[in-house]
Amino acid sequence: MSKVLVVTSGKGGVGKTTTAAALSAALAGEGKKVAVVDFDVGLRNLDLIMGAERRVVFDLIDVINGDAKLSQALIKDKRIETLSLLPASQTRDKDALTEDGVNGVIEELKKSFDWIVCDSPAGIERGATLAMRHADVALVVTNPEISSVRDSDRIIGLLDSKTLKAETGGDIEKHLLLTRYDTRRASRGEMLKVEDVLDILSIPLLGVVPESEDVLKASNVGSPVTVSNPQSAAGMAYITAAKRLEGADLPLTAPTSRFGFLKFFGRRAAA
Amino acid sequence: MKARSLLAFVLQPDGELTDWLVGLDHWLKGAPDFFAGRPVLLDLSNHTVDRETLLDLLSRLSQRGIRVMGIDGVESAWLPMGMPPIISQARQAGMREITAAAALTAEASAAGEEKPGDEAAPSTEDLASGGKTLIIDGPVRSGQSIVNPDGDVIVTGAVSSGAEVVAGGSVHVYGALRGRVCAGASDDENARIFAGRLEAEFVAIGAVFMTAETMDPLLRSKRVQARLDGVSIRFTTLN
Ligand SMILES: Nc1ncnc2c1ncn2[C@@H]1O[C@H](COP(=O)(O)OP(=O)(O)OP(=O)(O)O)[C@@H](O)[C@H]1O
Ligand SMILES: [Mg+2]
Repeated sequence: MSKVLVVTSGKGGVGKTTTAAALSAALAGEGKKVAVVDFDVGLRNLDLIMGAERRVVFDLIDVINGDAKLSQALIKDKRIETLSLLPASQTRDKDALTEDGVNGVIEELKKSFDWIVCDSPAGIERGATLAMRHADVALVVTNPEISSVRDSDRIIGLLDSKTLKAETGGDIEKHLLLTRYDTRRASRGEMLKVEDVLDILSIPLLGVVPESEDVLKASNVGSPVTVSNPQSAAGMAYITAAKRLEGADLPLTAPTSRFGFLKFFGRRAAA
Repeated sequence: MKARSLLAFVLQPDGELTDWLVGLDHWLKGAPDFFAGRPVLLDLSNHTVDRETLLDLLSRLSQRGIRVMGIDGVESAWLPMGMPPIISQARQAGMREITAAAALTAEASAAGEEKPGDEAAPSTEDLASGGKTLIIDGPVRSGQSIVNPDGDVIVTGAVSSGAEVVAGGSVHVYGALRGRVCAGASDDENARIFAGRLEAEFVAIGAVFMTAETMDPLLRSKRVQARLDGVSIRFTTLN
C-alpha cells in the first residue's frame, strides 16, 4: 500500500522544501520507492534543493494538462535509484492546478511508488489545500516561534476538515516536525521550547531538526542533507524521522549544543 | 432566496461622537483585528445626527476596518444607494442574532470581500440548532470559529490563539483558553466563561469586552471562571 505524505506549515520559509527533500531521500535510502512532488507552482525550489534543475523538461502542470505523460515528467535522482522528482512549473498560472488534475496524478503515482511526498506551498490557499487534499499522513513543519506555531495550528485545523480523509470521516495521521531548533536560544527563552510547542499543537512529535549550517551547505550543493551529510545532526534527525514514519520504534532524539543527545518523549495528542 | 440568520456586533456610540471615536481608537489598539471581517450594526438611536455626520461617521469607521452592514435609528430617506440598509432591531449595545432580509443582502454583498479560505467570520454552517448545548470534542484550532447563538458551548480541548468561540449562553473550555471567547452573545447577562487555563486574547460577556492587556496578570494560566458584574467582567479562580 502506498502512502501519500504532505509536508505543510502555513507559514513560509520554515523548512518544508528542505524537509521534503531530506525525508524523501532518507525514505528512498531505506529502499522505498519515493516520488516527491513540488506543489509550489510559480516558486518551484525542490528541483534546486535536489540538484535536478538542469534536467527539468516537463512538470506537474504539463501532466495535468495532458501535454506530457507522467513517466516523461518524472526525474530520476542520480544518487538514489528509487527516488524520483515531479517538478512544479515556474511559469504557469497557479489556476492550472485543478482538483481533478491533481487527483489523476496522485492516483497514477500510487501505482508505482511506496511514498508520494507532496511539498506544499506556504499559505492556506488553493495550492496548499490541493497539496494536502489526498494525504494519508501530514508532516507539520514548525519553527520554535509563536507565529509559526499559530500558523501550524491553523493548518492542523484545515487538515482535520479539508482533506479527503477528513471529509470521509477518517482521521488523517499528523506529525509535528520541529525544525531550525536552537537549544541554546530555547533555554535562554529566546525561542519556544519543544514542550511549549507540543502543548499548543498537541499532535505527536516526529522529530526535532536543529538549526544547522549543514542544511545551508547541502542546499547550496543541490543535495539533500541526508545524502550530502548523513552523519550531521540535521541529517541524523531526518533519517530517524524517516524511520519513525516507517513505523520503527526509535526514541526521539534531539541534539543539544553541549550535552550530546537529549531525550524527548513523544506526547500523544489527546483524542 | 433563503432566509439566514447571523451574528452581528452592534456598535452604539454614547456621548459626543468625536469623543466616542477617540475611545474606540483607544480600545482598538488593544484589539486591532476585533472587527476584521465581522458584520457590524451601527445603532444611532441615542443620537440625532444629520446626513453629513452619518456619512462622515461611516467613512471614519470604514477607515478603521469596521464594515457597517446595517444602521438603526436614522431617517431612511437620507441614505443614498450603496449605503448600508436601515434595520430596526438593534436596541442595545452588544451582540445579538438578527434575522432580517436586510442582513441577508448585506451578507451577500460582503461575501465577495472575504479572503479565500477565510472561515473565521461567524458563518451559519457553524450554528447549532436552537437552545442546545454544543459540544466540541477536542481542540478549536486557530482560524476556526464555533458559534452557538442559543445555547452553551463546551470545548473538551484547548481554544487556540486565533480561534474563537461564541455562545448565546456560557462557554466551558476544559483545555487552555488562548483564543477569543464571547459568552452571553444573545444578551444573557448570567452567562459565564469557564477556562481550564486562562491565556485568552479576548473575552466578552454580553456587551462587555476585555482584552488580554487589561486582564489581571495574576490570573494568567489559572483555572478560572468569569461572570458579568455590572459593566465589568469579574474573574475568580476555581480549584
Ligand atoms: N535546519 C535548518 N538549519 C538552517 N537553515 C535551515 C534549516 N532548515 C531550513 N533552513 C533554511 O531556511 C530557508 C527556507 O527553507 P525552505 O525553502 O525549505 O522553506 P519552505 O518552508 O519550503 O519555504 P516556502 O514556504 O517559501 O516554500 C532555506 O534557506 C533553508 O536552507
Ligand atoms: Mg518550499
